[in-house]
Amino acid sequence: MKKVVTAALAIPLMTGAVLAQEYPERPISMVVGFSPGGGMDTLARLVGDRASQELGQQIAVENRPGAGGTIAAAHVAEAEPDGYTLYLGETTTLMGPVVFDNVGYDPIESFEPVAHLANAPLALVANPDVPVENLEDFLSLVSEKPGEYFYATSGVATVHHLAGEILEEMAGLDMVDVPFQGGSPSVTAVVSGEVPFGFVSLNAATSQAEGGNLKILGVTTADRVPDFPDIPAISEAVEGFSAAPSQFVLAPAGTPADVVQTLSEAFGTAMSDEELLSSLTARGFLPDYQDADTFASDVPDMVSTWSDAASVVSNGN
Amino acid sequence: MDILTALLGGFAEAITLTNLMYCFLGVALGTFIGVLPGLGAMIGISLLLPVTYYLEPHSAIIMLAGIYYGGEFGGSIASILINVPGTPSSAVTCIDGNQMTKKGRAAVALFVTAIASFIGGSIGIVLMTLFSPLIADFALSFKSEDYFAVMLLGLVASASVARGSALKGLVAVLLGVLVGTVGTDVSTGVQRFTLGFPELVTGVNLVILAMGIFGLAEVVSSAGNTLPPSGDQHVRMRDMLPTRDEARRSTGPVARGSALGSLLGALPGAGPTLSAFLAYSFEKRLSREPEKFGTGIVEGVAAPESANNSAAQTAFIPTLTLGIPGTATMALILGALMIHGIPPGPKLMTEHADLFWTLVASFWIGNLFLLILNIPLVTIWVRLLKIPYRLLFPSIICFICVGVYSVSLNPFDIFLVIAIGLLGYGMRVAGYEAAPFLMGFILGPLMEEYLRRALLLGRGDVTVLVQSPVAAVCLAITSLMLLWPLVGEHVRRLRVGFPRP
Amino acid sequence: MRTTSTRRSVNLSDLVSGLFVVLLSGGFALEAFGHGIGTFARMGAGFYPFALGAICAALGLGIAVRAVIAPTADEASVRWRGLLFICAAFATFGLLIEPAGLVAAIVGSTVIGAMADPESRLWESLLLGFGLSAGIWLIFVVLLGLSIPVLPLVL
Repeated sequence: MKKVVTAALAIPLMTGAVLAQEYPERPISMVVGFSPGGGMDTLARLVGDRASQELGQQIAVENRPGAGGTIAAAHVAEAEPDGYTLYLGETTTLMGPVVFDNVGYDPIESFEPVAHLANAPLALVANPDVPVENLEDFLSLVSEKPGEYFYATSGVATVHHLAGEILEEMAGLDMVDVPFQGGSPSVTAVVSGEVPFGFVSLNAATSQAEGGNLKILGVTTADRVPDFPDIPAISEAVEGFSAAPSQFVLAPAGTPADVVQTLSEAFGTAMSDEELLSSLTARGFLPDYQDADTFASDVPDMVSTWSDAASVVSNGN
Repeated sequence: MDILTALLGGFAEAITLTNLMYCFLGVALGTFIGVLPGLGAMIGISLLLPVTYYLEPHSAIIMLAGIYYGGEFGGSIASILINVPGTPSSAVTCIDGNQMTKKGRAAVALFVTAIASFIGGSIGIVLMTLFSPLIADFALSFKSEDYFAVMLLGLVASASVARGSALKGLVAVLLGVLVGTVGTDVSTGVQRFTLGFPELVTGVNLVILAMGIFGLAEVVSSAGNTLPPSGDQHVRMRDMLPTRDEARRSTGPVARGSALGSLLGALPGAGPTLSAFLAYSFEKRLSREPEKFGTGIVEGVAAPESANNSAAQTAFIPTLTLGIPGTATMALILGALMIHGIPPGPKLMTEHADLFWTLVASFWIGNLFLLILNIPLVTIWVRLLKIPYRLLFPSIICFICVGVYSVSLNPFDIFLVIAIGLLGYGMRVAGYEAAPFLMGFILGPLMEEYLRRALLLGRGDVTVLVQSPVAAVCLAITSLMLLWPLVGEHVRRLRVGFPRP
Repeated sequence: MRTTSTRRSVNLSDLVSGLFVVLLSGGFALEAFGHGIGTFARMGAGFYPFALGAICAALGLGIAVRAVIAPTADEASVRWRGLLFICAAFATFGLLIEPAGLVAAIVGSTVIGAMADPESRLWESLLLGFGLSAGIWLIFVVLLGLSIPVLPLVL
C-alpha cells in the first residue's frame, strides 16, 4: 500500500532529478539497527519517505536490530559502496568499538558521512517528592551528600548513562547510576519514586511532567529546545555541558562523491519540509540538518568525545 | 454512572462499520499470524505498523489490538495442534493441549481454549473498565524486590509444571536461566558467554529460542512416525463440545486463571507468560489428582488459556494509563499511538477519554469476534491434522526458517535454531520439559536485573528482599514449593517401600 | 546417548544427561567466575550466572548419581535419521537464503527435510517445495512486505 502511495508521488519528480544523473536507478535500502516501531525506525520511515520523493526512487527501510545498532552498522560497512545501501545511525554507532567487542567496523574509516539529521534531547528529571525545583537545588542537594543519590539510566554505556557521567565529571558530583533495560522502565522508576533522579528522553519527560508525575530540571542539549522554551538547558548551570544523542546517515566507505552529494542534497530538501519537521519534533527529535561536508568535519570530534566518555564507564566499575 | 456513559460512548464509536471491519481484520490476521510457527503478535504488529500510518487513529489502534489478542489466541492453536507454541504465553498449553490432540480430541481442546480465552479476556476487560487507575497504582507500587520475589515464585512454579521428575524440572528452569544470561549484561555492560559471536551480544532472541527448543525438537520427534502423530480426529460439531463433566471441571480453573492473569498482566515484564505458568502449576497443586496433568485433561488447557488472555487485556493498563509499555508488543502499540499524534501518558485517560473507552469497547467486540471466528473455524483447523505429516513437517520447517530469518535478516539465526534445537531434542529425549526451560529463559535475566537493583538501592543489605510484605509472602511460598517436591519425592518413595526398578 | 537400554542396572539417559548438565552449567559457572563476583551492593557480571551455574551443576550431579544408585527404567530413544535430515534442512535454508534466495532455500530445505520420513517421495517434496515458496512469498513478501531476497542475487 505504502509503495503505491510513494511511487505515485514520486512519478512527477522523476524527470527533473533523475535525468541529470544515472544514480539512483533502483530502490535504495536504508538499514536501521533497531526494531520496527521504535524511534529510530520511525525516523527512518519518515525521512526516507520524504527523501524518496526527491530521489525518484523508493528508500526501503531494512531493520537489522541487535547490539545497539552495531550489527547493522557492520552490515552496511561491508556492503557494496554504490549508494544503494545506507545506514541510519545514532551516537552509539560512533562509540560502538569502545562499548562492544569486535563490532567489525571503524566509525571513521568504514563510512562516508552523508548527512546529519537530528538530535534527540534528553532531560534530567526528578521524582515530584524530591525537594528540588531547579538545577541549582539539584546541584547543592547532590553535592552535599556524595555517593548518596541514585539516578536511573536506560542501561550501561547508553547515551543516558554517559550524560550522567559527563555531568558528574563537569559539576564535580558523585552519584550512583542505576541501569534499567531501556527507557520505559527508567521513567517508571522515577515516577514511582524508587529512584529519585533520572536521565530520560525529553519526549517521555514532558508527557509525564504534564500529568505531574515528574519534575523536569533541565535538558542536555547545549541550548534550550525551541519547543520548550521554559525548560532550562543544564549548560546554564554547568557551563559547557552538552550531551544529546544525534541521528545521521552514513554510506559505506568508497561510495562515489557525486552519489554522496546527491543523497546529501535529497536529505537536505527533505529536512526543510515543514510537515516532516513538525512530525519529527512531535516524536522528540530536534531537527538539525547538516550536509555531508559539514557533518564529515564534525565526525572525528564526535567520535572522540563519546568514545572517551564511554571508555570511562565500560571498563571502569 | 460516569463509567457506564463513557463505555456506552465507546461502544457507539467502536461499532461503526469501519471500526468493526478493522477489528475483524485485526483479529483474523492476528489469529492467522499466531498459528504460523515462528511468527507472533510482535512480528505481526511490527510488520503491519507502517500500514496503520494511513488509518484514522481509532481504527489503527483497534486493528493493532486485534492482531495482538488474535495472535495470542492463534498461538494456542499451534500449541494444541502441532505442539509448537505460536507465542511463549501458550507454551504451557502444549502440555495438555497436545496430549488431547494425540487422543483425537483436538476439537474439544480448541473449543475449551476459545471459551476459556473469551471468559478470561472478558474478566480482564471488566476489571480494566472498573479499576484501571487502581491497577495502575498497584503496578507502580511494585519495587525491585517485589518483582524479584514474584519472578522467583514464577520460576519455581514453572519447574513443577513438568511431568515426572521435579529435579529435572528445576534443572530445565536453571538451564533456561543460564541461556538467558547470554549477551550483554544490562548492569555492567560486560558481554557474557557470547563465544565471540557479535550476533549473541544482545542475547538469544526469544523467537529463535522457542523455535529451536519446541519447533525443531518436535519435528524431529514426530517426523517419520509410522502412525500419524495425531490419530483420527473427530471434527463434527457435536464432537467439539466438552462432556458435562469436563465443563464442570473447567469452571474453577477458568475463574482462578482469570483472576491471576488480570492481576499479573498489569505488571510490566512477562505478564501473560508468567500468569499462564502460574495458573497451570496452581491448578496442578490444587487438584486431587495432580498426576493427571500432562495426560491431556481440560483443566490443563482452561487454566493457562484464561490466565494469558486476561493478562493480555490488563497489560494495556500500564501502557494506556501511565504511557509505560510493559512488553515489546505494547511498546509497538504505544509507538503507533504516538505516530497518530496521541501522546500516551497519565493524561490519556482524561484528554483522550473517548479513545480509551473506544478501545475498551473494541476489546470486548474483538474477543467476541475471536469466539465467533474460531468456533466454526475449529473444524477447519482440526482438518489441518488430516494433512499427512510427511507433507506437514517440511512446511513447518520452512515456516520456522522464514519466521526466524525475518526477525533480523541474518542467516546466523537459523544456525542458532539448530544449536538450540539439538539441546532441546536432547532434553526431550532424556525427559526434561521444554516449557520450564522457556520460562527460565524469559524470567531469569529479568530476575537478575531486579535482584541487583534491589540490592544496589538497598546498599548491599540482603534483608531488603524480605522487608516489603509482597516480597516476603512470595519468598515464603517459594520456599515451601521448593522444599515440598524435593522432600515429597522421597516421602512418596518411602511410602512405596523401596526404589522401584 | 544410546538407544533404548534394556539393562536395568543404570539409567543411561539420566546418567549421560546429568553429566552433560554438570558440564554445561559448570562451563557457565567457570566463565562467569572470570567476569567477577563483586559485592552485594554492586554485583559483578559473574555473580548470578556463577551462583545458578553452580546450583544447576549440583542438581545435574544429583541426577547422574541417582541414575546409578536408584535407576528408573530408561525409555529414551534417539531418532537419528530425523535428527540428521531435519538439522540438514535448517542448515540448507541458512546457507541458501542469502546467495540463492527464498525459492531455492525453501525447495532445498523441503526436499532434504522430507527425507527424514523414509516414505517421502522426491517428486512430492519438490512439488511441495514450490507450492510452499509461492505461499510464503505471498504471505511474507507481498502481504507483510519483508525484504527477503526471493531469487538468486545474480538475477
